[in-house]
Amino acid sequence: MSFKDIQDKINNKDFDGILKYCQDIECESSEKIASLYGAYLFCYLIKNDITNARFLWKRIPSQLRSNESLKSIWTLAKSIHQFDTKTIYTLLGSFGAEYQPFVVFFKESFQNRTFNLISNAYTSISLSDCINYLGISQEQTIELAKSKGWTFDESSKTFTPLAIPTTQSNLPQTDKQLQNLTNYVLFLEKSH
Amino acid sequence: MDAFVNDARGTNLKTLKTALAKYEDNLERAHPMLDNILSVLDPKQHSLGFLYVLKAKVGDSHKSNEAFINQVALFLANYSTEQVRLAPALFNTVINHYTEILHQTGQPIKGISGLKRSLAALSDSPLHILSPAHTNFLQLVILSKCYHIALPLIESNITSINPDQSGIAIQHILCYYYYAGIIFTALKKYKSAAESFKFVFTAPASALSAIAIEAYKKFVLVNLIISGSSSGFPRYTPPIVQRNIKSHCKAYTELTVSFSSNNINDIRQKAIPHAEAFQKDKNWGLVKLAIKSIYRRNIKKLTQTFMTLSIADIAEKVDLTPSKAEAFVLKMIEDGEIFASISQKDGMVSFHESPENFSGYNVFSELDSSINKVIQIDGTVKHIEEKLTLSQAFLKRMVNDRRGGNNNMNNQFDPEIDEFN
Repeated sequence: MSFKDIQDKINNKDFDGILKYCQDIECESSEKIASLYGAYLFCYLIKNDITNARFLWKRIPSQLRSNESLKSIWTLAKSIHQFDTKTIYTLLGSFGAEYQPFVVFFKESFQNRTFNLISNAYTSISLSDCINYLGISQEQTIELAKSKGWTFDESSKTFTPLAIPTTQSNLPQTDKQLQNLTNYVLFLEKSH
Repeated sequence: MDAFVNDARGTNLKTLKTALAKYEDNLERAHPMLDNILSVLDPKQHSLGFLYVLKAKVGDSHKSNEAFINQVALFLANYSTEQVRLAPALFNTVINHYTEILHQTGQPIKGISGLKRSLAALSDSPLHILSPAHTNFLQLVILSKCYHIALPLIESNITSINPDQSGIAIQHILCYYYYAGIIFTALKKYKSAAESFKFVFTAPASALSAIAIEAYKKFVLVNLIISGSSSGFPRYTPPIVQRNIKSHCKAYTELTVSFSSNNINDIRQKAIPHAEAFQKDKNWGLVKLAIKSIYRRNIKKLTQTFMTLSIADIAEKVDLTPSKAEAFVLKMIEDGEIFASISQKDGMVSFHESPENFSGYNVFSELDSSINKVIQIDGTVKHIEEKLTLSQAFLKRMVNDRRGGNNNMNNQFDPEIDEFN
């Protein structure tokens, strides 16, 4: 199986574009979409949209659902939903070459998301759990954690994560804001 | 039939409909020839003629379903809005039959793109003015499970209907909102779902309808998922609905009552005797989701009472194993439902206040978009009010009410009369 119709988008890591493309052709032609279901399903997982991934799985014709890769992607979706990280990382290692761009991108964003979650949700976490959540080796975990400013207690084998402060984005440009305020006043003037 | 084809190729829009209407009975009697006629008509140039033939095919029980599906798809890809609007009733019949056939033959997804194009046929603004095709569109979306496709439509506010132009009737409107509720529920947008279901059973009615009952059942369950309680009837619910609807939904009322205990095992036990009723209504999945939502709500309640609590205590209080309780808390932190931090060293969870200080850009832009929405709604309401106060029916009613001033009903309208003079 290869994805020749969307190869450009895969090379550009434009997974939103792939999703949109698949959504569009799904209703137009059942032959064209048949070879793309794997990519389609994976894009939903990259967006962490398990609800829509579930409905897509239900839409895939039953004769196609026995395909091994598709089955693995679906198991992956279920593991994400249950936050079963062990299964997630084992599964990610089992995909064929055509899925590598998806696997790499998914793994990276999933690890980032998980790392941020641990940073904010734990004030202390055991090394073994951390390895489990991130799916990397013990040395890599310690190295990554230290680079982010976590402290590691050798004796109890626990990390003390550093919470990531929420970033405040800037207020909008003043002229846009001024225009908004003008509109509000205009509205109030008009109605009284 | 040559005469029909000739007339169907006519270009004068004013006379086209009368010219073709007289063939309606002939077409109904000529079922075997209809495919041939279609092959010489162009769906774009001769839309009305094409539509007449399709309508005649609706009554043909021996036709090939596949051929009919392809013909309608071809028609919907090319039709001329101008011509279709001459015969809205025909168009609605064909679309409805098309939807039914797609459902029967188990290929609803085939009709989605066609029906999406059909939304504009009888509606000047498909996102804001409802037409019967909208209801059929949502039906296919649900049947094919392509819920995401309908989201842009059901998330926009419908502000108008135009029965003269589209031939829309009350059951189309009620079904539209019922289906929209189902789609919102599937996509887990429960608040919007509750609003849609509420619309169905609060619509003005002089009798209880089956659609209202089904919508009310789902409304109850969705509310249990959101808040674990029922929100009762809005004041504007028709009295006849308020009085009678509950006797049709006993299982649902009892489930709501059982939820007040917050004890998950207890509620589960009480739901089981009604399982058959829930399954028959195809609501069993929602019932299970509602019961599952209790865990989250119970954990959330703990955050209001305690500053810190051990994982073991949480597990005991909400009836979960400690590892599951930790996973639940983690998931809820991720979803932003609670603010807490877990310490595995001493097995404690500390709960925090919301870190939002309500001065950032996000709050600002949210406020901004809310104000803009209000401004828009105000404009729409004013527009509708103007149209209403200028309508002949309203004026007549006002004058009559002034004359027969002793009628009790009139008192309710007094403010409007005063303003009117």
